[in-house]
Amino acid sequence: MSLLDACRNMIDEALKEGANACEAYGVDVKSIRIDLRKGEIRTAKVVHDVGVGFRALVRGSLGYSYTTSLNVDLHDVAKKAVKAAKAGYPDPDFVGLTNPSSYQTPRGTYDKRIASMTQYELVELCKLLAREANIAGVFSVNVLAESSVFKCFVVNSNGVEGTDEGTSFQVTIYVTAKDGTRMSSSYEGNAVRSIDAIRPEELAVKAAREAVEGLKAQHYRTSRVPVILAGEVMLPVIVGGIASALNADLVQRGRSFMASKLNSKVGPEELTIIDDGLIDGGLLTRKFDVEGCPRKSTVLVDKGVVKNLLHNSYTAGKAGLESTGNASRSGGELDFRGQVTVAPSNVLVKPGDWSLDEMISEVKNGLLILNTSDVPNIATGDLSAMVTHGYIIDKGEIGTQVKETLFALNILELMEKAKAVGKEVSRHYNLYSPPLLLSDVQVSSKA
Amino acid sequence: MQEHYKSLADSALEMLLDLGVDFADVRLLSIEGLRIEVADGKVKELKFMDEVGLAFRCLVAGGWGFTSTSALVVDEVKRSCLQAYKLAKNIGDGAKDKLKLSCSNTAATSAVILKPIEPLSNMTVAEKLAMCREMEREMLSFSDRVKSTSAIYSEFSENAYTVNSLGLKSEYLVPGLIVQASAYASEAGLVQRGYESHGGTGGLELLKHRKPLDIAEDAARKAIELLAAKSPPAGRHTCILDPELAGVFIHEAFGHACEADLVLSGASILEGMTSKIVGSPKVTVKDDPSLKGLFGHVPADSEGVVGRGTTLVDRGVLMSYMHSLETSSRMGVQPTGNGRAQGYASFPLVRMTNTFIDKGECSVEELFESIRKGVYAKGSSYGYVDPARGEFVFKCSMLYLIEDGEPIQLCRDAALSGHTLEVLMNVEAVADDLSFRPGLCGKEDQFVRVTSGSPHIAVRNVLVGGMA
Repeated sequence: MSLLDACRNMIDEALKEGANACEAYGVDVKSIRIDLRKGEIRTAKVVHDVGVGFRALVRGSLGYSYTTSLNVDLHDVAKKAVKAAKAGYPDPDFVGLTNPSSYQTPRGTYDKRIASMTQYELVELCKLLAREANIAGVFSVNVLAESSVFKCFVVNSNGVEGTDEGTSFQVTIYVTAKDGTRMSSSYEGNAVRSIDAIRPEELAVKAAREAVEGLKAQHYRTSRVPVILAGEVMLPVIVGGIASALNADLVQRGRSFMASKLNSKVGPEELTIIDDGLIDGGLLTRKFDVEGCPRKSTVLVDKGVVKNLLHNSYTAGKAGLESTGNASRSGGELDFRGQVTVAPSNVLVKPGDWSLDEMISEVKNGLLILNTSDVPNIATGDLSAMVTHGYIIDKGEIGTQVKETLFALNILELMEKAKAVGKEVSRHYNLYSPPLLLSDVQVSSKA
Repeated sequence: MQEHYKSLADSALEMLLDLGVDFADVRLLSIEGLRIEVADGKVKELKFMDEVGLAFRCLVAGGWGFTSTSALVVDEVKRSCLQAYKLAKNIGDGAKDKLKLSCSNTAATSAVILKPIEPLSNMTVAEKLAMCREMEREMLSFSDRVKSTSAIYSEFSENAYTVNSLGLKSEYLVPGLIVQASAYASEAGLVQRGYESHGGTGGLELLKHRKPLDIAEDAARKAIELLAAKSPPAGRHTCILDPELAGVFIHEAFGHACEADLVLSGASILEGMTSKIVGSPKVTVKDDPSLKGLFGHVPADSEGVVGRGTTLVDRGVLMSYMHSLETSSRMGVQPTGNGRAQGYASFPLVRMTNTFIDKGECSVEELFESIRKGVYAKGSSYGYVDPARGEFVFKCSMLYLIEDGEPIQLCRDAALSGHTLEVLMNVEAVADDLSFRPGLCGKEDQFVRVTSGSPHIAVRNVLVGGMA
């Protein structure tokens, strides 16, 4: 049975079981993943994840179930969701499932070259990247390359029936460098929808250079200094900090530091942030979200003022608004097992006038922070984070990398202190952002 | 486990062997479960989980091939086996390093069934839901400043069957549960979250070890206390870590660097350090998957190996890494039962299970008396490490400034950081109150259930990242 037929079938079954409304989210994703460790290809994996996440509504109460086997009795899966709904109790805030509407077809989301990519091509690519990264001083090169092709379907009892497909390609390179007992490392990676949107060789060379440079990394001094945030560090700040805090579910529950900030000015005129689920080739660009609501473009922050929140059908119904098409699942857009949530799609920060060089000379003495693995506390907006890739700015020039250095700021304070917005936009996963210059940030390190 | 599925797994292994592989294993995994999440008095999720799948892995001339399927029918199994073989052969043809796996203890283990004292089915779904609602009421009644709450009850029953070409065969059935409470308190525009959890492997008896209402109350108390918290002082301090945070600390700061796959890929600062001094003589660190009842307990790992516990650090000396079949074969040692995969669609990696700092000799009171000035860090939100650089960070939920041996001021959202090779050396004291917390550990997009444990410990010269 095809996945779409399975979805339709389950809707019929659940209605027969007594569901008042129901929804099936079918996903079929096939990935080839090649791992290269310490210069040698180690594993080739083919993962085919296929299944249906099912939700049934009985007298205002919602139940979940899912299946990974289309050869089992689908009736059983539908029945389980109905049973779960019957075990719960009504939620008057749940207005209903998505109603049918037309979908735009976004561009740049399906690349035939990715869809037809073989393990052999990926193996050759990994080997090439390992050679590119093998410069003097490098101790080990680890590469992961993955091509994926997916289809997804939303069918519900209101008559929604959506079909979408797409591709993605991801590469990450982790390089370590060693000099006696000193060791350093560097990571570069990105994920895109079409193969032309990425230059894996450049990432490999960059990671290798950074790892070798990292051997000379120095501590910084515990102090308050100006800081430039650029590149991948903008992901936890803009997506993880600002866009995630404008999640209507968290705001409605008073769990976000942005809870009372709608229509308030939180940042400078130069700061405009948009969630765009339809941008050409965006990593999370889709025709519709996991509830079958059309993807849209939503202005989150306009010239420093918070304008909108991100909604799914539940939060929109509760607020008497339309969904912004930001329904996701707890494990992401292609997760059919998890709970329906609200999440940003592609996030865009509008570029300003400053070049990175101008920002560096403006800073004089401070830090250029390019990456961290930390995320902000959404309740408070506090971000206390380790610099995993950053440089000392000394007399207006970029100096050595920093090590064992933490920085701390509050996201609201960050927006207030955003002194300049850069003009060079870089793209990391689902974020398109220029650098930001912040006037003073608390940094702690050895001295 | 259905016998039909097991014989499908057995025949898949034969299929792979017939193709001419050097090693193969087939893993059958079924997970059944229930997840209830209540938020602000409403059901947010009530879900029945049920899935079963097969994983096929083979080694040909040093190359690994891996496939999986949830379509448990003969044709699909044949197709998946052949594909795994082709993937492996392609890589093996170009490999210089012709890995061979070995394991001296390949006696088939009898099926292990962890029988809960009180089966999960002794409570109905409605009763479990009512329990979550009561937890929410408990949090709300703690203080009127608690404005938003969530309570989660999640249970699972994990049934695994693994066979491999070395003759290893294992089967187990392990049930378990976890209860989580989150309270959000607010005052004058400031929001703070308090979180508590309790869980393990076993049945409903786990709810008696720590009562759900107590978990709820503790979460609410934390949120209220945090409302009065200030930003922490940036800089280096002597830190007392509570067992929860010290558990995360040993997991992040040290545990990951002891994973032999990282060591072999040149990504661990502990490479070449076995039998060398890596910590103070007060520190002993163990990883033990065999500890029943703990959340990280597995009767056998995802490669079928039964782990009996590994001493990683013995009184300051690095004794061993944690191993999978591949890493133990490469290093010429025995596997330790740490080859774990998230689900049937994931390739086993070297993972921790129940990892802990063993208890020391002083009492908690003596430990506090010895630290006149510093900070007392409690509770953890998360942590991570770059095992190659040896730099790690972990987040504490509460941090008290200590003066004259007394905690005086509470601070919030502090990141604590240090260097793997220095930090265990800086452990000044280890108390005798070992306790454990359940958690999920992520590595390469795979999450597995683990336990971290420790007594209270005191560590010199920890870097605290704060805003003040």
